[in-house]
Amino acid sequence: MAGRSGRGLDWLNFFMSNVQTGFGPFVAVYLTAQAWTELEIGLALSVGAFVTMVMQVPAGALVDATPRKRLAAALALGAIALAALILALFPDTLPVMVSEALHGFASCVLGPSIAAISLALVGRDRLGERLGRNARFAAIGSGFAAGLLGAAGTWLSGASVFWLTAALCIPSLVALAAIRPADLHPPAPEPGQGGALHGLRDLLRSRGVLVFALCCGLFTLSNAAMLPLAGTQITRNAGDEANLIIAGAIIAPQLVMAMIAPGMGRIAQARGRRIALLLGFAALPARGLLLMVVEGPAWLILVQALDGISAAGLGVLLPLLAADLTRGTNRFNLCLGLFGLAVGIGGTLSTTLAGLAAEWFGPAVAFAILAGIGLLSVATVWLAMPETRDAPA
Amino acid sequence: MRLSALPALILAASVLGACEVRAQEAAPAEGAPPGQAPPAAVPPAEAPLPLPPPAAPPPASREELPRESASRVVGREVTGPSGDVVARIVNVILDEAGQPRAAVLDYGGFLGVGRRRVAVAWRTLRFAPDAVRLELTRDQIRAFPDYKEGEPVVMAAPPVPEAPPAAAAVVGGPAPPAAAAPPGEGQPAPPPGAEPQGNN
Repeated sequence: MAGRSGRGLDWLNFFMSNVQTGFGPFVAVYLTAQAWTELEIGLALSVGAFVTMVMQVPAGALVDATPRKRLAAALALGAIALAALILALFPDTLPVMVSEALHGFASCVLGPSIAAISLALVGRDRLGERLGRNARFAAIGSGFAAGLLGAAGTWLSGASVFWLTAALCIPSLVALAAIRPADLHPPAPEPGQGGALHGLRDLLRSRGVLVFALCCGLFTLSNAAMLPLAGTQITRNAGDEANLIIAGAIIAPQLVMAMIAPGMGRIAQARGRRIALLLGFAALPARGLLLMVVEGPAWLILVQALDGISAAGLGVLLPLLAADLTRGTNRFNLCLGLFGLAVGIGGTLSTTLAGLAAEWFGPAVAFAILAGIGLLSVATVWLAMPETRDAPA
Repeated sequence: MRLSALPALILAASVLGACEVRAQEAAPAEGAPPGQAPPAAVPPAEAPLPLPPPAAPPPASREELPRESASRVVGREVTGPSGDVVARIVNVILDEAGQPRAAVLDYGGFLGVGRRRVAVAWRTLRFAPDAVRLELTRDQIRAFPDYKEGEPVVMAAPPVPEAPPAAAAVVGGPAPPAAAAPPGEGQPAPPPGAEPQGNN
């Protein structure tokens, strides 16, 4: 697809998710090794989470406002490399917070600008397929990076993870540079629509946007805590093989996602967004209920693989719906920012909710609650989400 | 006064660490395995000159620990009996006398998923210059209650088979897996209470 630019975008997704993996669990492990207390680590990480959440919408507006999406993506990658270097060089309170905030903001720019580049490269008609491909390469990238960075953290040093993360920004930039500006044809907005604030008001009045934002929030509220909760159960109940089971439970969904994401995009393209959404979302309550009852490592990993279906569903459909719902305007990234905010809120509440539920009522009840919320998100899609696919296509 | 000769002296404050002081960790200075000298190790640092010239107290006296014989504790990796890294020390629990009684570990997990926070009795740890070894297997710790801030510390201690020689229990390779749950003569219950006498 689309020759060199398309392949550039493939690899951009791959390396981008390499880079983002470096900022995941490794930060907490690294800071623990630097004798940080739990409280300090929690504070530094919540600075990052807070900035990521608050900056979603403004960053979206910013990406909308610039016609140079490639430049925006390049600057974001540069900022993430800088954040990684700060972590590696100065593991002290203030630098780490600055780094977390910088990374949070840059991520808010990077995601939407890659989506905008995808849209400009293939146009609305083939966007579903393209986003499926993006999700495939991102899934492969994060699985690969988890192994690579994990090995670096184990055998080299905690700081080497961040040196490597910063270094991985270089191939990301090369891949970005391989996308030819001449191949990008951003859809022309209809003229005469006020500023970003005006746009935000318009978006917040759209039923599709509000319903899907609610779906996104419910989805992550149900989804985010499931793996950590399952992981805790595994280490508590399994003996020596616990780490292997957890590794399987992390990698299986990535494999599934890499396999099915393009298919998910094609379904959304050919059969409609609602079907694809329902497929992806329905895997969520199913997983919650199954995690409640299954025992034994093989079953656990198999059930966790369902995560790949829902992750592919959300990963492909979220930007696709944002593109649908902002047809004819220049609000694509603003809309992505809104959905990102909903995802962030859901994710933040999810672990707290599940943690409390597990402590008070036991893990089975916690899984049941998560599954219930997942069911609610399916019901919301089913009952309230309009089909947004172009009628003629 | 001079204690630099103490062999395996572990200084919990970050001697080599890049990070600055973290208040609680400054306290647990202790001789780990033999455990005869430790009480003497703590006081000399603070109580050198009793005469109080009201104007300006004299500058702090200077003591040094050789690099190889001292290391910090918080943040160190812990290896299991099989030699793999199984945990990381995140805190040290002291009793009223300032003696370390338990280490709080971030135990197990992969990429941060499934990590548990458990407290283990201080005597289950063996300190060597290059590693801290935990003499309890994963199987022995599984299903052990998590450590929770602000509640009585429940710590995992070596199983109590017949006699107190705690270290011997670990050497018996085939025994520990079994000693975990099945023959658990109240294994989770006794450690917190039975702790004080068992140590010295």
